[in-house]
Amino acid sequence: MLKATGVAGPKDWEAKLPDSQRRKQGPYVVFECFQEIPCNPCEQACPRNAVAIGEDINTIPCIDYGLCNGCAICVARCPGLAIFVVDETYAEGYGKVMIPWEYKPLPAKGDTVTAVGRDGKEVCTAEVVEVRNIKNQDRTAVIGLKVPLEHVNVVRGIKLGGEING
Amino acid sequence: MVRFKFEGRELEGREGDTIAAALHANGIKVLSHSRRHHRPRGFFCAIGQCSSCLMEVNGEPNVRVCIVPLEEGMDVKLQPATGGELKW
Amino acid sequence: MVNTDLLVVGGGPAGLAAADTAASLGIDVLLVDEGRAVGGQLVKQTHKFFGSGEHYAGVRGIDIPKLLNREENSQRVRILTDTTVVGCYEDGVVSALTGEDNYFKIKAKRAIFATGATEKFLSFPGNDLPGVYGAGAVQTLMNQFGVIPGKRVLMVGAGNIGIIVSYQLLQAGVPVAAVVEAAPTIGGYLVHASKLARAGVPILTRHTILEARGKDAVESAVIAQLDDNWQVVPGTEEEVDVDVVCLAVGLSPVVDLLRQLGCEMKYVPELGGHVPIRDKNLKTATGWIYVAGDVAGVEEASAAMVEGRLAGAAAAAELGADKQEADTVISRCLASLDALRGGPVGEKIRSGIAKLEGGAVNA
Repeated sequence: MLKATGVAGPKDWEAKLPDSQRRKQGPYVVFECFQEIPCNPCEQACPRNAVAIGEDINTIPCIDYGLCNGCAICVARCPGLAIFVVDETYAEGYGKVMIPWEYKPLPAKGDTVTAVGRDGKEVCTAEVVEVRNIKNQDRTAVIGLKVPLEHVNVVRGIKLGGEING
Repeated sequence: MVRFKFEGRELEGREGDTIAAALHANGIKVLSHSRRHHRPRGFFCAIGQCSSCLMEVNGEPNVRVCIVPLEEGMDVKLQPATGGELKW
Repeated sequence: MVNTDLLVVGGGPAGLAAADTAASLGIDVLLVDEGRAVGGQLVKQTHKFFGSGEHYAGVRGIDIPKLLNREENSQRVRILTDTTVVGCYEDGVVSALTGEDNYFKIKAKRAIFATGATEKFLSFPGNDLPGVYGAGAVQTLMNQFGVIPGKRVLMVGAGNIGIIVSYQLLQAGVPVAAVVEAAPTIGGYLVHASKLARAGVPILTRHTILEARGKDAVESAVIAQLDDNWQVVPGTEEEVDVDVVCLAVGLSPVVDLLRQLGCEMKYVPELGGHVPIRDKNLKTATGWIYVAGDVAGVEEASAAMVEGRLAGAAAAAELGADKQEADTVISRCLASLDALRGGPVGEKIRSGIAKLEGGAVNA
């Protein structure tokens, strides 16, 4: 499936989530990096050394969820835009998903957007609750979306094409 | 803006464009024709390797317009596949 | 006649890295490039690179040329742009043309050919229509000149180039109707493919283009599904409304100059076609010539840069650079190439290079 369409199925991404106890403790990173490719900027990006790749740069990154605090610094550093941060403790009935974003327009805090899944299909509307776009992210913005809790691990993008009503 | 001529038409391009990029920005995709069947040709590689974009520029035939910078007042014309005068 | 210790032909990632490394080792370099500025195809690579820190991982390709063309080496590296090498001769003379009429000869003790690759073509009716572009041409138009190639694009090929250029089209606001790929699986990195999937672009593996239709330019394209034997499944033909067909079906090494020299070649499909036979340090059987980058076998730009450094250091050592220093660079480069090619995605390259080793020359 993933290799034929580029869309990760539940079996692929569920294996990338931390255990249920960790998920209740606050924001956590989700590395949707399923293939051994020569790449390791995420390892150096983490200020808490929670990402391990090691000597062979083709190794799939391994996350120490005891160290990861969901700071999302790694999100903009991944050349594959494959890192997301999910917070299931964000608000009553709502979670927050941090996604990388390199399209125009760049949404602003407070915008309402159409959130999409890994297959690009519409999932729900979402409020933009955070936009990070500092210089060292080098034009890869990171956007925080407030989405209903049941969608936190389904939403992975925003619909393209100016579906934004600020 | 840089003003230039294509087949007698006055067009404008941007400073720093190649001739082909400026033509494309003006909606002109047909840059030459094939020799036998006169089928339209555009550019393919845009880096001066494929010979699909040879045009006459300021009277000089066989200019690779995909890599030659646009200059003010340039006179750009279609040419037959072999260069020289357009005979059809 | 222009005399130089080291001539580098081509100022893309491999050539720039070669010149930078040789200059750092104290060698004077003349670098010639046919373009108006150095950088080769990096000038349109707006995405962030993979690899490790030493491969500029996380840096956008467009920002890499200035990192490879360093001020501190400017005294040792002389760069001639708008200069095309047009001839190579057995006695080590290379002829070149700057602009339209400045024809001159270069005599170099060693030369590194980093002439890159050119786009492959695909056979189908209508493939000669304006609007059928190589993926690199679309990048040039869009990322270098800010001109969009058309209103809606069909991408042919789901290797890294096809899916990266599709993503860049979306960034430029140009819809991509679909990516068709004849193979049963996506050839490029899955993380790139997933970016497209999230943007709602279907990646259709086991699909191909049958025809481009239109009068003066592409007006539509016909695609169809393929079976296990790569044959069209009847009844699956579908006409797609696009004005651009973008071909990303692979690259071939540009080996014309090496052929002119009689440099020994071997056909290795895994490396893109005919490639020069060379030793581990990228020295060809034509003793004074080294190769680096896509001309030596089509790979990612990160590998091209390391190959440039490797050839630069190896040539520098022969030209009298400090042997220990050069050897340190050489062994670091060899380890770096092993790292880049070490995983499953490097398997094709590894097997291609293994085929070459049958005919390898000894330094």
